[in-house]
Amino acid sequence: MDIIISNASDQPIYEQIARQIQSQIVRGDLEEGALLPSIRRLAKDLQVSVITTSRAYEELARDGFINMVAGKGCYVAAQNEALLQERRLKMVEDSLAKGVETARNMGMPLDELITLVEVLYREE
Amino acid sequence: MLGLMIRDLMVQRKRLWVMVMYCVLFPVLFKSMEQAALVVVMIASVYMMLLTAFAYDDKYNADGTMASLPIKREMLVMVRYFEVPILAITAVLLYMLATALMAPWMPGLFPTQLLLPAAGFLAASLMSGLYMPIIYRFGYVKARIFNLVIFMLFFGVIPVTGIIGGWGIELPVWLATASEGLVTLLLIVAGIAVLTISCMISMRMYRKREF
Amino acid sequence: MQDVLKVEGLTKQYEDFMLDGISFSLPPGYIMGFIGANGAGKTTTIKLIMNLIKKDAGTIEVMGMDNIREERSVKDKIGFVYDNAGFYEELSMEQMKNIISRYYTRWDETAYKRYLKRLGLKKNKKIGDLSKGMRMKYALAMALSHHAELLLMDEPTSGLDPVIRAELLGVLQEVIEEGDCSVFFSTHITSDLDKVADYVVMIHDGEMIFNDAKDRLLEHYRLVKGTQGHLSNLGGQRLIGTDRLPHGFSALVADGRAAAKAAGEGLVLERPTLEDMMLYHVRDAAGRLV
Repeated sequence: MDIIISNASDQPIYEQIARQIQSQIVRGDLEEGALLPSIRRLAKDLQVSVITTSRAYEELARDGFINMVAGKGCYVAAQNEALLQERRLKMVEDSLAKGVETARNMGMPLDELITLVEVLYREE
Repeated sequence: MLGLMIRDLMVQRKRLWVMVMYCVLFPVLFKSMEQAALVVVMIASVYMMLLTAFAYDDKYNADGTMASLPIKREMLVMVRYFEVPILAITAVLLYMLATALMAPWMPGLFPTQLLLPAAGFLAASLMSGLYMPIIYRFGYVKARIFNLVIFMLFFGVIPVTGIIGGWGIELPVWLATASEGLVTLLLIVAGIAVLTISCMISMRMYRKREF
Repeated sequence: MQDVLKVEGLTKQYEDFMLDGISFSLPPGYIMGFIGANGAGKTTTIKLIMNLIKKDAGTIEVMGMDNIREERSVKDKIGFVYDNAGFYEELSMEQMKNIISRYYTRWDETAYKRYLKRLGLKKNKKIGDLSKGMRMKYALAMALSHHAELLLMDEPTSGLDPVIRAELLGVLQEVIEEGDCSVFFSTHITSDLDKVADYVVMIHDGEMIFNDAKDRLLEHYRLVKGTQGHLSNLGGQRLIGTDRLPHGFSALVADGRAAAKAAGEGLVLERPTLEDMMLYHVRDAAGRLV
C-alpha cells in the first residue's frame, strides 16, 4: 500500500491518508477483505501521530470503505459497485465544486468555465 | 543491601589501596602510641572510605539516579551505616596483618587488647555518626566544611591526648575497675547505639532531601 | 480507560520561580511532548512526578496511584531517562545495570541484551568512556528493559546528533506500538515532536500555555502574514506574538479560518510548526509584561 504524505500541504495529514487509501480502494488496488496495517503500525511506518492514523481510519470506516474488527484489525469492506460508482462521482464532484466556487467568485461566465474544463480534460 | 555495598566497593576499588597504605604507614607514624595506633587507623579508614562513597555519589549525580529507583531512601541510608562496622573490621584485620609482618622491625604494634578495636569502633562510629547526618541533610559539597572540623577534632585531638584517659573525666568506680571484657562490650554497644541514633536522624533528613 | 499520567494543580515555589498549577493527563498508549524554553519548568515538573523534589500543592497520579503514597510501585512502572542523572563512571555498563536491575520487579534481561545490541552498545565498556549519545542510549536501554508502562524522559535528545535522535524517536514509536506503554518527554527541540507526538503540552514561566492533541493544534492554528491593512482588519481577533516587520506583520492565530475572513484578501496563512507555536507564544508572554 503506497501512501505519501506531504507536510507542506494544507490538507490535514489524516485527510491525506484517508483520501489515498480511499482512492486505492475505489480504483480496485486494494481488494475487498484485504487487511490494512494496524493504526499504530501505520503511524510508526509513516512517522506520524497515532491519533492521525486513528482519525484517518475512522473516516474511512464512517464512509463505509473499511471495517474495523475489534481484536483483529481493519479490513477493506465489501464495496457495492453502485455505491462505488456513486463515490467516484462524489470525488469528482468535490474537486469540481472548489473550482466552480472560485470561478463564480471571480465572476467567470459559465461557458468560459466549461471551455476551461474541456481544455484541461484534453490536456492529459 | 548487599548489592549496594558491593556497589560502593566496586566504585572505590582503587581507594582500597589507600586504606592498605593507612594500615602500613600510620603504625609507623604513630608508633609512639604502640597498639593504640590501631584506633587512628580505624578512624582514618572508615572516614576516608565512607566519605569517598559520598563523594562519588555527588560527583556523578548518581545519588539522584539511586533516588529515582523503586527503592526506599531509608535503605540507601542504612547501607552506609552498615558499612561502618564492616570497614572497621577490615581495617583491624589489615592492621593486624601489616603489624604482624612488620613485627621484626617494629615490635609492639600488634594489638593484644580486645579493648582497642572496640575503642576504635566507637571512635569511628562517633565520627561517622556525626558527619553522615550532615551530608544527608546538606549534600556532600555543602557538608565538607563541617566534615573538616569533625575530622580535625577526631584525628588531631584524640591521638594527641590519648583516648579517654587524658580527658580528666572522672570515671565511675565500677567502670574503672571493670574487666576488659566488660569495657569492650560497653564500647561496642555504645558504638552501635551512636550509629543507630545517627541513622534514624539521617533517614529523616534524607526523606526530605531534594535532587 | 485510566490515564497513565494525571497531573492536577501541580505547584512548586522557588525563590525566583514558581510552577503554578500545572494540569494535564496522558491516556495510555500515546506520546505526549512537553515543550517550553529553557527554564520554563519542564525539568521541575518531571522531577516532581518522580518525587525527586517535593511538591507544594497538587496531585500526581501514575496509573491511578498517588506518586508519593505508592512511590515504589509507581517508580517500578516508570522507565526514567534524565539527562542529569548520572551513573558511577568507574563502573562498566554491566556492573551499573546489575545495581539498578535488582530493584525492578519485572526486569527483563533478554530485552536489555536486545536493546544493547540494537543500539550498538558493548556491555562491559566503562561508563566513563562513553560519549553523551551512548550514555543516553544506555539509559534508554535500561528504561525499556523492565516492562515499564510509562517512559518518562527529560530532554532525551539534547546534545545528540540528528541521526541518533531519529533512532531514538523510532524506538519510541515502536514502544507504543502494542499500546501497553506510553511516553512523556520534554524537549526544546520541537522538530522531534512535529512528527511523532500525539499530544503536546507547552509550558512557559511555570504556566501552562496550551495542552492539546497535536493534530488539532496544527489544524486550527495558523501563522498569518500580511500588511498593515490586514493588521487593522484583524483588530477584533486574538493575535498571538505579533511581530511587526518592516513591511507588514506576522502573528499566530488560534483560528485560521476566522482570521482569513476578517482580514480579507491577500492574507498569507501557513501551517505552523511546533517551533512556531512555541516562539510566538513566548513572544506573546514577553510582550504582555511590557
